[in-house]
Amino acid sequence: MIDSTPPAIQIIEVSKHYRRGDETVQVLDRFTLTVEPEAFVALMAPSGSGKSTLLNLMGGLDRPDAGRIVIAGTDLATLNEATLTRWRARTLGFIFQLYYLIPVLSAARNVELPLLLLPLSREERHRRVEAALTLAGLPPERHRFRPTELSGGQQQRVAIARAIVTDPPLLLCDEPTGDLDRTAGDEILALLKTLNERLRKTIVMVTHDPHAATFATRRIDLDKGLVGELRPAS
Amino acid sequence: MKSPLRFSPLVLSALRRHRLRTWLTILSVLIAFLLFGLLQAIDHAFYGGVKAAGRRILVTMSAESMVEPLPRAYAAEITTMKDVHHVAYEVWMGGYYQHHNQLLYALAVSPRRWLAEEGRALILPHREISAWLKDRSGALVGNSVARTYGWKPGEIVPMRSDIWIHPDGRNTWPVRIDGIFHSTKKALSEGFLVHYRYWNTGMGNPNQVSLLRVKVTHLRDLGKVARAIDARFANSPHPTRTASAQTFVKHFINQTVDIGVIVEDILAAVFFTMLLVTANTLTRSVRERSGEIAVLHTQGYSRPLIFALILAEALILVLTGALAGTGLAVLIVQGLRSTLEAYLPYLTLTPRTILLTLGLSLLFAVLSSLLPLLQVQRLRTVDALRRG
Ligand SMILES: Nc1ncnc2c1ncn2[C@@H]1O[C@H](COP(=O)(O)OP(=O)(O)OP(=O)(O)O)[C@@H](O)[C@H]1O
Ligand SMILES: [Mg+2]
Repeated sequence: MIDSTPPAIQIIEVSKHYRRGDETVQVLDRFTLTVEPEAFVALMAPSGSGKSTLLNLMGGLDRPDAGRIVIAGTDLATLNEATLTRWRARTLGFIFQLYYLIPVLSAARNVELPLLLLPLSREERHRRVEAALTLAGLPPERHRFRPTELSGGQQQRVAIARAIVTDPPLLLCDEPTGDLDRTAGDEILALLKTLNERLRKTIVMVTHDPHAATFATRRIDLDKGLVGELRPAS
Repeated sequence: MKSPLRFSPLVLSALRRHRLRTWLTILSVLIAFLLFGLLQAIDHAFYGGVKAAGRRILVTMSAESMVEPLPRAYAAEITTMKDVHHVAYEVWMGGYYQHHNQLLYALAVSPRRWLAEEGRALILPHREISAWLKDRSGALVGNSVARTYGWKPGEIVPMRSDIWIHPDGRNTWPVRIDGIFHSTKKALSEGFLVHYRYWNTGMGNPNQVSLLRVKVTHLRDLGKVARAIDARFANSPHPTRTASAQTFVKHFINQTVDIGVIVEDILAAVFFTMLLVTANTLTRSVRERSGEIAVLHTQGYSRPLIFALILAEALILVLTGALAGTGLAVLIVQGLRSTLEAYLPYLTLTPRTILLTLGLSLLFAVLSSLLPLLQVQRLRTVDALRRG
């Protein structure tokens, strides 16, 4: 089932600072960004400029100091911790540079984890796990392998399967190819492109690799960092 | 469909990460509960007798010392007192068979009174009982002691005593075995019963007793009767000290060894160590998995659910160890019982102890997961993801 009302992302005048000792690091300063439904956006910015911070804010993992974050019409400020968690389960899939798979669980078991929160029978869970892993391009004979028995690219495929297994409309990817070589990286990027085109997932991918950005439908360069009133051209 | 068991692979995965550490932790819990089980059994073996001692029975002895005799006339006098049902008396023979180390737990008793109280615990043919009642120099012996020395009914046993010497200087007290009894009370199967009158005439009629057993009419009068007895003889040449049979047994044990205190100290140390080990294992496990926990959070796992998963992890660790430890304790106690039953008839693990074990293991599971739960409470998902 594909959500017929995909989310738009609206980041409105968002500020975020961190405190390190006595000094304050202003990471985002009244930052504004809009992402259209079904877009595949590559956010390009140098290391340390606040890309992960921005992604975490979009996913409701952290709260901004000021400004509004509206995802698919939902203002995240209106959700408390518990509802935010439930909202996340329905709306988002996260994909990280370091995969974060549980090493002693098989690929299939790892992908099943988000499904355990839903009222599904064991058979239904199994069916969806197999579908997601197949879609993510992990060969069927590897579905029972442990992450340590898989290559980096295959591990990232498992992580992507885990992100899409609940069929969320929005995928947030934090340097998904950062740990992969060019070939494996390209395969992952092609997979994300397919997910965007065929399943109409809205994808926000942060990266500092210009080549990776070529797979996206829209590239936003933030090379001056995210500080300041930056309105990316669309 | 929504069974919490569907999370079990996730919970087990946490334990499978470091198998050796998991097994060592379970082992430490196992040892703690094994010791707990064994010490509880020993405790019960010592104090079990306290509860078994008759509830309506008072024991009256000399106030001066346990070995100081009392006049037998006290029995008749106490019988006339209010709320007293009947009075039995006995003399501790301190006998032995051929050598000093062949102790006989011989009591010279008032036969009918004694049988009225304890007779139900004896299993032997009625004709052996009546034979003994008629035979003033006869004895009834427990099957265990009879088997040890190979005694048969009708045999004459030359018992000796260092405490009780005849006026002519002899120290032998030959008795005829009139009957051999089995007993529902294990301690009794070592018993050796002779007539009080046999001892009394043999000693030249001193008309003394080692102690009196006073049965009261109602349990609620126990304390009142005890005080009345001691008050009555307070100013006589032989003042008394009266206590419930239970207190008596307890007092006797406490003189032997203060087992309760030792048990408590050892257990406190063992359980504290176990708690540290378990808490340490869980804390490390949570710290190592902070990235994974953060990712579960991004997938929609709520904090309470993550708490529950860690608690389940703690429960598995502690319950596995506790069940294995208690099981082992039961096996060991069963094995020891056949060898030790003569000395420690109450050596056993009661259902109450096993229930207590279950309760304790639940408590320890919760206690040992407090620190890891605090860790999760403090864990900020974004920071955990940064650390990788
Ligand atoms: N919890 C925190 N405490 C203090 N400073 C932080 C914290 N999180 C981020 N920062 C700082 O905020 C800035 C932005 O961090 P962020 O991780 O968002 O950058 P990034 O663009 O994702 O970098 P990279 O490309 O290296 O992943 C950095 O200077 C970082 O040191
Ligand atoms: Mg980053």
